[in-house]
Amino acid sequence: MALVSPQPTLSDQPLLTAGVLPSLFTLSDEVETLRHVAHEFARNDLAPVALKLDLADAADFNWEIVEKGHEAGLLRVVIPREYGGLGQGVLATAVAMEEIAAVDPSTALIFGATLLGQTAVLLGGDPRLNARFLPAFAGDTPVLAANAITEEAAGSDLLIQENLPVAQDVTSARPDGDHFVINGIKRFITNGKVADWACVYANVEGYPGATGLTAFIVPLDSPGVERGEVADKMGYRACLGTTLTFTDVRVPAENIIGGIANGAHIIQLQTNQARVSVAALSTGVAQGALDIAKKWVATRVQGGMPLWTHQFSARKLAEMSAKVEASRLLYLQAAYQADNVLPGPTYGPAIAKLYADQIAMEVANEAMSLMGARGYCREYGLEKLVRDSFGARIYEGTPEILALDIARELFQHTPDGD
Amino acid sequence: MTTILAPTAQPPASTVTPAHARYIADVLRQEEKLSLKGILSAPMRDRHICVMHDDQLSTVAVRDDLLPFRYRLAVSAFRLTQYLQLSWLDTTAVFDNALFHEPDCGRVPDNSVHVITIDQRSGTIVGYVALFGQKATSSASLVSDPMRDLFPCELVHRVRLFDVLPVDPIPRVGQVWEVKRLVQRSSNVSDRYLKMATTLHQFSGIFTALNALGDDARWLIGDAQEHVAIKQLRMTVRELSVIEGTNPFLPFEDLYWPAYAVRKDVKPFMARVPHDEEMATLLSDLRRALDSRNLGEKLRILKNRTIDEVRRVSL
Repeated sequence: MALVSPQPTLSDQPLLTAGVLPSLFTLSDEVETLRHVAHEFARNDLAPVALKLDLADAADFNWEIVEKGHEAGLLRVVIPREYGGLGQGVLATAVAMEEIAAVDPSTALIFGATLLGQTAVLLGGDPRLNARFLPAFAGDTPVLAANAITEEAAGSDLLIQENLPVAQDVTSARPDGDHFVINGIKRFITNGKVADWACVYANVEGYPGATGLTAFIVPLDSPGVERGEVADKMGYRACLGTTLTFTDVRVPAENIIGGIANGAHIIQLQTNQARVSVAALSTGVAQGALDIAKKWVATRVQGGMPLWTHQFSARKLAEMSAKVEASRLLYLQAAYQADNVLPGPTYGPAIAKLYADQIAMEVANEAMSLMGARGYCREYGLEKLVRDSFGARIYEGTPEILALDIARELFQHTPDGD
Repeated sequence: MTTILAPTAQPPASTVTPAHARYIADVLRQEEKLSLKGILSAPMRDRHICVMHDDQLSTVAVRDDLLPFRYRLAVSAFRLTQYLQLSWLDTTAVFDNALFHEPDCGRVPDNSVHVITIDQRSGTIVGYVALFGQKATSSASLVSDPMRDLFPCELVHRVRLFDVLPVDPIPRVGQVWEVKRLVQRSSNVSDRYLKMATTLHQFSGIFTALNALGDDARWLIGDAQEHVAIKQLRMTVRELSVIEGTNPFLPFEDLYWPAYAVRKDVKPFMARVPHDEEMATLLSDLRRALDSRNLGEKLRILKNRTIDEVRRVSL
């Protein structure tokens, strides 16, 4: 028995907008165009090499695939049109991230981390900073950026407002004339090995803990910047997580984003946007795993019937589908809010990410149980997605950090819970 | 009708801070990374008026309205950065307005043709020249029409070229093209071969584009220094006339005012675009010079061309 088409859906926007089913969401033509472009890139350029990228040495980086993605416009999604970009927001970014992540979340993150660095510059609203750091992305040679928050000493201190006064061993910035001198170590910085510049968060000397947290744009070819070893990770292997060491790195004061001691605010805005993209990315991982499993159970015959008609398999598929649909609806709503509310909301992105990261692991795990030994073999691509599914729980807020944000939002207005 | 302004008194006081200098340095550095490799790609091919290659450089001529905005920005950034390096721009205005490209870029696509020479390997622009044409709505007027829009060089020199140097038959405005922004990447200067090859590409681009325009390209005008562009133009155009004794200036509010303050000897010129047999010979000579790998040979081919005497008119 063949699967019918078009399939029923709650959240597949191309099908819904084609008029098959009504939707609360109407995505613009520009977002749909970007989705199509990202889909084509993922299926035609990325899919044939995704496993090769995954199995390469930890420090290997494939510029060829980045160049192809850049040709498709994926490195300039959020760059305003006047700087040569596509002028899109969180929603378009998230939709593109899901499409790429369904094939390889690791490559999606190369683009995502760059957009994150760009977002920091844009949040500052300084036209000279924009003019100095954004137009390069409009050229035909890919340029990457990075965002450096995680400290050597403590990964999440800078993400928790209450921890800022007591944070220790935070990367420091000492004023020196019209410059600042940065010292410290940042860990697991995606694109740190290959980016042109990074948004680096450092505490200005004289402020206790991290209360003087400030965002600096630091060109990574500056004297005193050392790009360290690449982390040999379980998943997300195509993107490089690197240690960045800053030793007396002089950065001009005009490289500050949003003013001195305003870094925590920038992080918050940036993180709320980024969490939507990561939720979309995890949704993509789940969708990718579901797609692989669907192909298998549609053709694999057991007891004379395709696997999907067996009750146990059907139950798994139904739950996997429900999770993917719910996750997508959550991130779409959060993305819409993030694009239309200032300052960006905390609750929606945190909920979307918490859920998406969780179901990515569950759906990938169930997909493997449906495929059995074949799922465990590399050639089907599912084993890679299972490993990848664990990654998003770690960056841009662990479930525990997200829980703190969500609980704070729940009780912010009604401390007694009513 | 275009108004001609009178010069104002004093240049504005310049306050260049270290931050100011760093900004300019960053804008220059960033432009050096901008690649336009994709301009040679298949999807762009249908838009080109012409394209030519040698083993290192490629030149594309493309109408402004057919150039994707992203590339128009890159072209405009190149123009700005080269003018910055020549000190032909008001750097204070560049800093104050956070410019990284010329400010008019992209507002309304005009009738210009961009002739862009790029390095095939890096995709960076090494040479550029624009052919500026008046907007289509005024192209049918005769150049003798007192109400016609003036060309930029006429505004700067406060002269109506075709009144000073009448020609017969009187061309339509749409048959006149102004050569603008003839620039090479400053780093070319140290490499004589690259500099010469780029110049040949630029002139090949200009005349191949003019040839493609056919009857819509009869006269070439502009302003330049006698020993630079005018000297080069002599080898290609016919009936070159130079007007002496103008006093070119731009008001100090204009971003480009230093271009006429730092350069002396900038003269307006006009020349007939070669046609038919003349044009075929010119394009053939340029092609031979382009294909030659020997710098001396390139120069010899151009010097052997029949060169008209320059007609000079004093105001």
